[in-house]
Order: sequence, then C-alpha cells, then structure tokens
Amino acid sequence: MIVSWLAGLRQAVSSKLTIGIGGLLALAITSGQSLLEALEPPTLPVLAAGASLDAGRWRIALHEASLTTQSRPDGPPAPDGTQFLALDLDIVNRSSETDNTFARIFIVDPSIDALQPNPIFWLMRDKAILSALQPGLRERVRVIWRLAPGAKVPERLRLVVNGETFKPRDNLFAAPGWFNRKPIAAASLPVAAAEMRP
Amino acid sequence: MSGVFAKLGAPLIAALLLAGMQRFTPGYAEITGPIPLKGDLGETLTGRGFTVRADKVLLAEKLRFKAYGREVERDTGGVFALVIARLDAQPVSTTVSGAIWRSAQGARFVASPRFQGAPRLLGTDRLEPGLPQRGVFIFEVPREAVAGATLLVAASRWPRLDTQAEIALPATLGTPASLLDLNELAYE
Repeated sequence: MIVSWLAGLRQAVSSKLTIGIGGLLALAITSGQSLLEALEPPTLPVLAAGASLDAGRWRIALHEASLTTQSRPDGPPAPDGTQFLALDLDIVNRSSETDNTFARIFIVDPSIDALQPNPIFWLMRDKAILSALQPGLRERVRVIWRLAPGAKVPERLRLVVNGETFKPRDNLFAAPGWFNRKPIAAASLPVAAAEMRP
Repeated sequence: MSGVFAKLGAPLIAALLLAGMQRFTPGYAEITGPIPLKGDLGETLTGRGFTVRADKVLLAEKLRFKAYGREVERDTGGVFALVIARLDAQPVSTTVSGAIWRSAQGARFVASPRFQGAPRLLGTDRLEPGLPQRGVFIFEVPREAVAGATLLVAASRWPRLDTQAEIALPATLGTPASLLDLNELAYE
C-alpha cells in the first residue's frame, strides 16, 4: 500500500520535474532568441563609391547616383517633367553561366517612398535594356527609377549589396547553383542634382 | 566472438556503403540531364527533335546590322564569336533556343540577346520540318574563352533527357575581324 503510494509519488515528482525543466529550457531559448533579435544588427562594411566589391556571384562597383529627366540613357527628357533617379554601376558576372538575376544584387535600404518599384537596368554599351550578363565581361549599367510625381527628392541613396555563395551540389537536385543570398556591404551615395541640358 | 563482429561490423559496413553511395553516385540533375550527341565542325548531327550542322566560326570585335530600318552597331568588352550553322526540325516543328558556347574552362555563354532583329539569327524562329534554316549563332565571350570551345545546341537552355549536340570547335581561330556586317555575311 505505502510502497505503491511512494512509487506513484516518485513518478509524479519526476514527471513534474521533467515538465518544469523542459518549460524553463524552452523559456530560456525563446528569451535568448528575442534578445538576439532585439540587439542591433551587425553593421555592414562600407562600400565606397567607385570601389570594386566581390560579392560571390558578382563583382560590382557603384559609381554615382543622380537625378535626371530622362527615362532612358539616350532618350529625350520626359514630356510631363517627371524626374528619374539614375544609378551608374559596373557589374561583372563571376559565375560560369550567362545570368539575368542582376535585379537581386542590391536593395535600397531604407526604402525611399518616392522611388517607384522595379527599376529598369540599362546596358550603357547599347543604350538598351540589359537582358543578360555574360561571364567575365564587365559592363557599365545604369539603373533608372521613376520618381513618384511631386515626391520629395531623396538626398542620399543607401544601397545594401547582396552576396551569394556557390554550392557544387544543392540538396534537392544535386545540381550546382548559387545560394544563401545575404547582405554583405552597404554604400551611401549622394544624389547629384539634375544636370542642365542646353 | 563472431557475434561481436556481426554486431559492430554490419553497421560499419552499411555506413561506409551509404557514405560511398552518397558521394559517388550521380545526382538527380546528372541522371536526368542532357543526352550528349558529339560531333565536329561540318558534320550533320541528328538529334531527337532537330538536326544541326555547324560549318564555320568567325570572330569579330564589332558587328553591324540593320534592324527595324535602323543601322545598329554593337561592340563588346570581349569578342563576338559567330557560328554559321544549319538547323532542321525533325520530325515535327520545333524551336531550338538553347545554343551555348562552352569555353575550354567550362563557362557557358548563352547566345547573345543583343541582336534582336538581326538577319538570319538562328534559335529565335520556329523551325518547320523540311525547311532548313541557315544562319548564325552569335556569342559574346572574353578573349580567353575562344580557344578550344564547344558549341552546345539543344531545344532549351537546360535540356532534360533530351538531345544536346556537342560540336567541338577549332582549337585556334585566328585574329578577330575588326568589323563584320551581318547583312553581308556569306551564309550559304
């Protein structure tokens, strides 16, 4: 009678202890996670204008950002006075494949409300829309955002550059590819005023 | 004694076997990849959906052509490699849009998209059986990617369990012409 009662007590105590320890552990882990998230994100290395950066899949150099009234590199000014933000940069495709994923290379961070999404990438060599980057060939590219009408023009453009790493065999198809996109550098470029055209 | 060996040895052998299989068996992408069809310049290769014959390779630093009534000139940081070839659909209509210049180092250059509207560009138009097309594939490659390259021709850029013609190109190709006019090229 007493023996079985003792055995039952022991079981109850041990299960309560297990639950308690597990709960405390879970609490500690989640608190730690939220603390880590609350910490300031690590500051990214600064990329100077004109400096070349190796971002795994790409090598890029950001040159200058300027306001313009042209929607394309060789076009006439937009008739309704719309303004555009143009960013000049050099891109080299470091992968072994012709590539058209250049829109992933950088993001505007913090985002600027005046910039309309989906800028157009222009190949300066052709003054035509860039459709592919061939491996190992450096190209001068101009990215043009349309500014929302009447929007306040930003003074600086902060860009966060993404890098990717190569994996010879991915987990799904065992095919080579580029993965783990993450920010690796940040650049802050002054936005030059619109040039006066005679 | 033998019982201990069986207990320890069997899992060990199984682990080794599995590790070896994981490391050395071909991956899914490889098993379901392109089916190569090797050949040389001037040889007609018959694949599952098309036949191809590459005749000549030309190099140029600049290319000129007329597109949509406009004279267009294209230059490059590398060199333009042109392959004059003949394509024929067989047995049904098809599009052969996967032409790739594979350099000796292994880089794969897809035919340049900078020549929209150029005359006799291969890979853009639909091929009909019995109506062969003669024309040109244009690639834009760095100078070091010219020697010893291979031309890959397939229905798509990533053929799955489908023909990919692999045409060995000459190891040396001379100096590039400074300017070629695509409208005056001898395609025949």
